[in-house]
Amino acid sequence: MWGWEQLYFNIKDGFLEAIVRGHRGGLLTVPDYNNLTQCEALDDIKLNLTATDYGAYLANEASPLYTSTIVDKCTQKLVDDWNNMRCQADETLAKFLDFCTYGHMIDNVVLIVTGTLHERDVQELLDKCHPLGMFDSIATLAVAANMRELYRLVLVDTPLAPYFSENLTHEDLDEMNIEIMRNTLYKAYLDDFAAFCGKLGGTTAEVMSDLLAFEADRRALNITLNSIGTELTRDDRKKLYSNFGLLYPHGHNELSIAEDFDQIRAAMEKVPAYANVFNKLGYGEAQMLDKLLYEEEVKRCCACFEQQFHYGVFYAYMKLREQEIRNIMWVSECVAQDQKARINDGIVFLF
Amino acid sequence: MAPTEQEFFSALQCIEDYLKTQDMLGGALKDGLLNLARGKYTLGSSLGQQRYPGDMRASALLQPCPAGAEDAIYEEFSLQTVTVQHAGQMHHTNSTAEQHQQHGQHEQQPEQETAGRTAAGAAVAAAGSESLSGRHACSSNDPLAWFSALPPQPVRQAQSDFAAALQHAVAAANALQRLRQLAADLGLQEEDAASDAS
Repeated sequence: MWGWEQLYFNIKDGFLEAIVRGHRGGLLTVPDYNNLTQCEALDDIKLNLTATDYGAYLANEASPLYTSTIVDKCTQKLVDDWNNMRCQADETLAKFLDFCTYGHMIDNVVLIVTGTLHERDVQELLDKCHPLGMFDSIATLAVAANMRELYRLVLVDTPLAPYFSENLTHEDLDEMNIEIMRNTLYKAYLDDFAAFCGKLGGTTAEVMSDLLAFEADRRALNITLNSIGTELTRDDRKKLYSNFGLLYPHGHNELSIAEDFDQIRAAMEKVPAYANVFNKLGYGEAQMLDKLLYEEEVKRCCACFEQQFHYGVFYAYMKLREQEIRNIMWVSECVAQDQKARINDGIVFLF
Repeated sequence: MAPTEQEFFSALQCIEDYLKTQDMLGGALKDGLLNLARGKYTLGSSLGQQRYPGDMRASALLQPCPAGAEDAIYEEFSLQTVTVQHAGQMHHTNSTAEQHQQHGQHEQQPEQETAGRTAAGAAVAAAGSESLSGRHACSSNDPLAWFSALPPQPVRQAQSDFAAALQHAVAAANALQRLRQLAADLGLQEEDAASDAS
């Protein structure tokens, strides 16, 4: 029954909702970040993180530490939490949790394809893939002789198959077309995810529609910003925008013809939800935009936890944990590069 | 002004140039690394060595070239490079000592050989079956394309910073070479003066 989740949600999914709320309680707080920003070396960061949820993952790491090591260990914590929840989820929640990982799967496919074209070693590429996006036949991507075989031999048996076959009509192998392929797959994935959440109905549909709409709009904005000055045509750019979101369809029309940051800003400011974000930016200032968008995402993800009996908390947990890992990466880089003055430029506080 | 005094002032000028370019080099490297970190913040782990092509070749060549004077014993350096100053716009520079001293005046030079990758084809016929690894995908000589065809602004800025750092490094090396040459000339003059006096 629509809107009556409180009657039946806990039967199958109550335990995992409690688990994810417990994980959410372990996210770093402002005092934790204050301690991290005062570190002088990566070993100090490791020492501070030992007292957090990451303790078990970093405690045995020997010096010298590298930023990539810290990031990898923190990511492993997310992967372990996610896999623990996934293996205990019932059918519907399991499908939802899988949907949350398809973005990483797309990134892994693109990484393997690009790396193979660049004649890199397959094992080396597999080591760099995101663990949440792995699937059984990923290694066979490297042996495919062309794009048709790529689909027939590998992708047809993966969840990405519908996104690949419906949207890619020719074998594209240069850097721009691989990027177009990535964004096209991601567009199809977001559309499919939104449709799935819509079918679930109730609070899940309500919460996830907001989060996915923001994700779609942010991707449209980033595609537009990053394609300025490149060979991506206006038509190709427009094809990469999702078919939903606050910017759909009029905002997309304006973004597709934008040629500089000010035109993009003018298009985004017509949407009240994003006008607040752009108001915080100075004239012509684009560097802060990423951080402001992440702040907006964090705000929405934290608000998810205010409601119970919906799947949005799992998606929100993944996003919050990923933001935390980005924060830790930024702090580590600033400490390693002796750029303590810029350390607060990249930290998005979760609470 | 006596020639010796002239050379002494030239040496002081070289020292000043060297210290200034060294400072600029440090600043450019620092900015570049910070922008690279910003790029990692956005792109995540896709910005890494796994994106380097297997047949990667240098796009900048450092060539020694003879200095102006006939009796000069210290060569100067010239950088042949293809740099990207704006998103998507290629700019060819030939950095010599004189050009760098003119603060940004760049001459257009013929294209230099860069990465030896062939351009990709476009759509493939349904009956075609070219090898995935044999058909090189790179249609651009810009290393940014290795990481993303739509690189974010921090990554582009990092590339500009590192390109500027390379220019500063060459300028610093040339200033040091001029200083060494002046020191050698001053040393020779002292020997001549000493032999004349004896």
